[in-house]
This record gives sequence, C-alpha cells and structure tokens, in this order.
Amino acid sequence: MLVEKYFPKNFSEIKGQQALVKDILAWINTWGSEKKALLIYGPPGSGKTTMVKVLAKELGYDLIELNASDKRDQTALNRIVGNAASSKTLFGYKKIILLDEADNIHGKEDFGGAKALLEIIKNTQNPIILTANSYWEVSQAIRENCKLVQFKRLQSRTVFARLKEIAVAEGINVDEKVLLKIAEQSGGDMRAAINDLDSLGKNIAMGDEKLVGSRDTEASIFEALSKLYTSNTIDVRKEFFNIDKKPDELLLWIDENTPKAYKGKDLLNSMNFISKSDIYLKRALNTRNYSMWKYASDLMTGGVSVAGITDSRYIPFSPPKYFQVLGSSKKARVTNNVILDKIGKKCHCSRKIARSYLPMIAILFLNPRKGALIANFFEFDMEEIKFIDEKNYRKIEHEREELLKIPEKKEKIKVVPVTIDKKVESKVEIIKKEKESQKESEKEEQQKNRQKTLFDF
Amino acid sequence: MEFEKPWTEKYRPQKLDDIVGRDPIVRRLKSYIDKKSMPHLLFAGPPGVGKTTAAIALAKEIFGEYWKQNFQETNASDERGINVVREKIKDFARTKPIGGEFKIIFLDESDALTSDAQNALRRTMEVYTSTCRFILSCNYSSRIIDPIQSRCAIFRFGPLTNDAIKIMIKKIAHEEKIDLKEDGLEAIAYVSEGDMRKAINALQASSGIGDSITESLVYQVSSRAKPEEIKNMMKIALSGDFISSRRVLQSLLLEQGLSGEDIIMQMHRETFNLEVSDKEKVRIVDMIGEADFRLVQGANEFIQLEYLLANLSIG
Ligand SMILES: Nc1ncnc2c1ncn2[C@@H]1O[C@H](COP(=O)(O)OP(=O)(O)O)[C@@H](O)[C@H]1O
Ligand SMILES: Nc1ncnc2c1ncn2[C@@H]1O[C@H](COP(=O)(O)OP(=O)(O)O)[C@@H](O)[C@H]1O
Ligand SMILES: [Mg+2]
Ligand SMILES: [Mg+2]
Repeated sequence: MLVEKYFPKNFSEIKGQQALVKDILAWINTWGSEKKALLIYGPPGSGKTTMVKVLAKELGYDLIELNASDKRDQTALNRIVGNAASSKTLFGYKKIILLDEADNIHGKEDFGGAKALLEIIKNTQNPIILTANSYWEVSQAIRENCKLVQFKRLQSRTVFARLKEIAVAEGINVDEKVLLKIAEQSGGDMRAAINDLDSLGKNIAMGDEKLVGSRDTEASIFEALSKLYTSNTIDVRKEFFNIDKKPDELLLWIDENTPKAYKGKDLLNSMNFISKSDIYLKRALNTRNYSMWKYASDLMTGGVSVAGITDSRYIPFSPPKYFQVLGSSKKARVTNNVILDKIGKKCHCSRKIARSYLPMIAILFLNPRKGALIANFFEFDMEEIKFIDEKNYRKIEHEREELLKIPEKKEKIKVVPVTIDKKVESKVEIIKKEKESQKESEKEEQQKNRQKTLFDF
Repeated sequence: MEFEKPWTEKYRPQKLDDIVGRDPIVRRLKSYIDKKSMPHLLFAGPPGVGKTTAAIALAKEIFGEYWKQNFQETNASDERGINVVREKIKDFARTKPIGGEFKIIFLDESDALTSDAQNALRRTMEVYTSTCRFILSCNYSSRIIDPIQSRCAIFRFGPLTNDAIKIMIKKIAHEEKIDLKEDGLEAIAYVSEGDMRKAINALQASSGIGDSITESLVYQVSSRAKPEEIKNMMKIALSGDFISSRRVLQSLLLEQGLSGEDIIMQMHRETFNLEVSDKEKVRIVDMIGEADFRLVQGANEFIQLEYLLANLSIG
C-alpha cells in the first residue's frame, strides 16, 4: 500500500501544514505550566494522525494511542489513558497520549466518556492530543480545555506535488495531467488520492482517472457502501465523510441497499439502526439542533457495518427509488409544503391533516374540468398541480384557461358559496370582464360602422 | 375565477345547531352565547369530529358580523415555534375587541407544543385574560399541562357515531345529486372511523370517478388499502419473505399514497384475523406498538414500517 509506504518520516514530508508545526511545538514545549490538551481538527486525509506520529518520533516520545474502534467509555478511558496519564515519567521515557477521532466520544453514547476525558485532561501527567474531523463534534467543555489547531483541507496542487513524488519514486508511467485530475478529484484528501493512484497500477493512460471517479459522485458512494457491508467496523463511518450527501439522503441509499447485502438477524439489526437513525434525523429537524445528525450518521454507517457482514463480492447496488428521493429533495419538500399550507389555510387544519386531502384532490385531477375547479379554489400554480399529477397537469392548465375565457354567469357564483374575500375578488373579476366585453362589442360596433362607411361610399 | 370547494368546506356547518351528533356540547356552548361571556375552553378529541367547526360557529354566533375581527385562528403544529405563536397572539390581542367585551383566540393542535412552550403560552394567556378568551384544541388532553387544563372548561369530542356520519353524508349526497347506494354509505361510515373529514373526502373522491357510489368504489378511493392487501403483506412478511413484503409496502405507501398511520392501524386490526396462535398475535401486537411509537418519532414513514416488516419476517 502506497499510503503506508509513503508515510511521512519527518515534519518536512508533511505537505501543506508546515505553518502549524510551530504552533504544535510551542504547545508541547510549554506543556505542564498549563495542562491543556491539543485538539487537531480538520478533514480526513489532511495529515492529522500523521502529524502526531511524526511529532512523537522526532521528539522521542512514546505514543500511547487509542483509536476510534477501541471502546472508550469511562472505565476504558480511565484504565488505559488514566494509567498512562497519571504515571510519572520513568527513566526519561516521555509519553504522548493520542485520542484519535475524538469526535465520537460523547457524553451519553460513551457512557460518561466525555466527562472522564475532561477529568483526565485536567489531571494528566502527560500531554494529550485529540484529533477530530469537525470542531463542532467535540463537546464545548472539552474544547475549552484544549489548544486548538486547525488543519486546512489540502490544496489540489499540494496533493499533486506529493503524487508526483510518489509516481517518480515508484516508476509509475503516468502523465502529469492525470495526476492533477486525481488530485482535484480527491477533494484535498491525501489518503484518498494516494489510494486512487495505487489502484490504477504502474501504467496509467489518459482518462484512467475516471475509473476511480470523483470523490463526490455515485462511484464513491458505491465504494463506500461496499466497504460498509464487507467490513465490520464503526470506522467505516469515515468513508462517508467525503460523500456529499445530506444524512437523510444517505439514509435512503443505505436503506435501499442493506437488504441486498445482509440476511436474517444481521438484516434485522441493521434495519433497527436505520430506523433509529431516522428518529435522530427527525429530532435534529424538530429541535433545529443539527449536531444530532452525527448520531444518525454514525448509526446508519458504523451501526449497519457492525450489525452484519457479507462476503459477497458483487452486490447489485442501486440508488434509492426515485419517489423516495423526490420526497426528500429540497425543492420537492418546499413545493409539498407550499401545497399543504395552501390546503391548510383553506380547510382550517395543519399540514399533517392537509395531507389527507391529497388523494381526493388527485382523483379530481383525473377529470380536467373538476381538477381545474378545485385547483382554482386552492390557488395552486402550475408547478404545484404538476407536483400532484405529473401526467394530467397540462390538461388541467388548459381547462383553467378555458374557464377564464367563459364569461361567468352570475347564477353559477350563487351555487358555490364563497368566503367574503373570494366574493369580492370574483365580483371584481366579473366587473372587469363585463367592461372588457363591453369594450369588445363597442369596438365591433365601431368597426362595423367603419366598414359600412368604407363600402357605402 | 370559477372554482369548486372541497365539500368539507362547502358543507362545514356555519351555526352551532347545524353540527351533527354533538348535542350536549352544542347546548353548553350556546349557554355562553346567551350569557355573552365565556371561560377559556379546551376542545379535546381526534381529527375531523367538529372541534374547529364548533370554535368558528361559536365565534360567528357570539360576534355576529364582526366575527372575523374578533376571532383569530392559529395552528400550533405548523407555526415556527412558540415565539411566533406568542407574537401572533400579542399582535392580535393588542387591539380592542369590536362590538363586545372580548376576542377569541383559537389555538388549534395545542398539544403539538412542548411543555416548555405550553408554560410560555400559559403566561401569555394570563397577560391577555382581560380582553381575550382562548379556545385550545388538542387530540389528547393529557398532553396539555395541568395549569392550562385547570384554567379551561374542557369539552370532550369523541369520534362521531356511524349514524351522525350517515346523516351528514346523505345530506351532502342529496345536495350534490349523487346516486349514493346503501352499501356505499355503509362503506363510507366504516372507513371514516368516526372522522367526518375522512367520510366527506371519501364521498367527494368517489363521486370524482363513479356515477353511483358503491362499496367497492369507496374502498377504491378512500385511500385505504383493502383489508386483504394489508393482511397479505403481513402474511408475506411472516413467511420470512422480507423483500417481497417490502415491495407491497412500497406500493401502498408510495404509489397508492396511504399514510403510515393508516397502514399501521390496519395492520393492528388485521392481526386478529391472521391464522396464527394467540401467543404469536400478542408478539405481533407488541411489534406493531413499537413501530407505531417510532413512526411518531421518526421522519420517514417508509423506513419505520420497513423495520416492522423486518421484525415480522425475521424477528
Ligand atoms: N499533509 C500530508 N502530507 C503528506 N502525506 C499526507 C498528508 N496528509 C495525509 N497524508 C497521507 O495520507 C495518509 C493518511 O493521513 P492521516 O494523517 O491519517 O490523515 P487524517 O488527517 O485523516 O488523520 C498518511 O498515511 C499519509 O500517507
Ligand atoms: N359534527 C359535525 N357535524 C357536521 N360536520 C362535521 C362535524 N364534524 C366535522 N365535520 C366536517 O368535517 C370537517 C372537519 O371538521 P373540523 O371541525 O375541522 O374537525 P377537527 O375536529 O379536526 O377540528 C368540517 O369541514 C366539517 O365539514
Ligand atoms: Mg486520522
Ligand atoms: Mg381542526
């Protein structure tokens, strides 16, 4: 594996983060006078873990590492880190404690893990470093006891430079343009870029970069899904950090494909996690506390991965069914809500109850005349009619135009009882129309007269 | 512009006396009209049984031609949080009532408010109590905090009886000149489950595709699965074929447009018609109960019902 082979051996090989080395050295050199932990946060593959390993090596520290797959509840933290943190340096061996991916240490989920960690940070005899993908996913109490260092997403040209070094050293036959494409596609993730290069072999032709695909396209979600089902680790959640899909859409992808990968109890346990993720998504939505998303994401990826395993090498993945995605896409949701609000306003009810009117309205839409009349009442626009009935909307629109042409008869208005506002509006309409038709006939009269004059004389 | 109303609105009773099947409630409400005063009211009951109708009719009869100026309707479940609700109430309550002693604020679906929000609401109620009366509606009065309940006269609107539903449906069918068959009327009463809104919508939908309203037409349009369809889906799941049962669910929910709530309610009903042991039935009811709970908490109905099917087929 090229990522391992080209693991940076010293600070200078860590690209694009040079400016931060100074800050990190300053932190460790003054550590002790103030016991703050170091929190390194930034996107995956930007060199966070690498930086810590190189730091330990360069300064001659022992590195005690606790990564994401280890159990990190209170007892575990106290046992492993607590011990290391309180034991004094013996015979000059110095220690650094690394809590990698600290963003999944949560108060509730890790059963007091966050609280225990806070205690350890305050009382430790050895410096502690935390890494995380996002600042927000580390609890505030912990952040307040940390020095913060942000790793920026690497620039394409930085990734490119490293790829070029590797390609030259490995004797890979590849055009620079291709390397640049791979770098761009990686979205600043050095690990991903090196892995992509690795997977293309020793002779890479122009256009081959398309085989690995952009990290943001469906190719990458298939790849991530495949890892999800063939591995058995919560770490797999990281595979999804780079996938540009909102958690509710991602959930649909996982929901669609899980029954293809798992059977029996594995499937049942996975469906449980999927169901729970959905509940967290709803809570996030309701409380507008979007930090709840992280639980949903962890359960739908890591949870489902751990719940089962498949050895099938070929799973026929497919995107979620069109209508489900439709229901969750932002535009559709907005249209849907506008429709429901219009119904709710006219029928004195909430969106939830307004929904129960839709089947009836959809049936009336089958008949263009009835559809046009009911659409007029709710004041739906064409987009909204189309949303309810994709097939018939043109006919309904046409019928509405026809309705506008027919001068309204007064009896008709009497038959349909209307609200006060409506009545006024309709009356205005009628008066306008009457005036217009009056003008029309006047014009006709004039024209006739003119013709007369022309012909007669 | 020419238009046609949904019949729930076209035939919504405008006077308290026109409300069917709610005599004791109507009598109590009318006493407020005679006295020209009323306490805060709490209307509790399921959807479609006349809560909103009663509130609007009461306002019309108390305020006469000025009812619109003195009556405000707000839906707690759709407005963006308690602060919006409070602002709306404040704006409305600030101005003096026209031609009377008080105004009425109708807060629909109040049990959608969290208990914190309800406490805030209670303070608002107190501030404006000299000029405003509140009518709160809710599905369950137990979800309304005690201090609010104790300040309100409580009116319980149960589901409407089949007879009440039939009276209204026959009346509308007559007005609309619809050929309503006896079995069609029975079917409407059956699918409505005491919910007049459902009943009227079923009638209007049926009349949209058929000239005479029969039982089979009603089932076809009432956005209810035929009982056999639901039973069939459950049987498939219980036989262990999760994938196929999921496909049926997809069609019910996403193609036929049933609501998750309807499906789960029908599944519960059909459990007792399954050919399985009583012990198994109890287990199924337990699973359905859990799913119903998650359905309320979750965002995506399909996912929650799918989990229920996984339980039936694998659990
Ligand atoms: N800035 C960098 N310079 C050089 N190589 C890097 C850099 N960042 C990441 N890498 C490569 O990517 C791999 C993963 O990096 P790592 O430090 O684990 O990323 P993370 O930020 O996710 O912790 C490393 O093994 C290394 O080969
Ligand atoms: N008791 C009733 N008598 C006559 N019509 C009713 C009655 N209850 C409900 N309806 C009809 O059902 C529709 C919904 O009723 P509504 O009062 O808005 O229900 P909710 O109890 O949900 O507020 C109304 O438009 C009205 O046409
Ligand atoms: Mg790392
Ligand atoms: Mg109502």
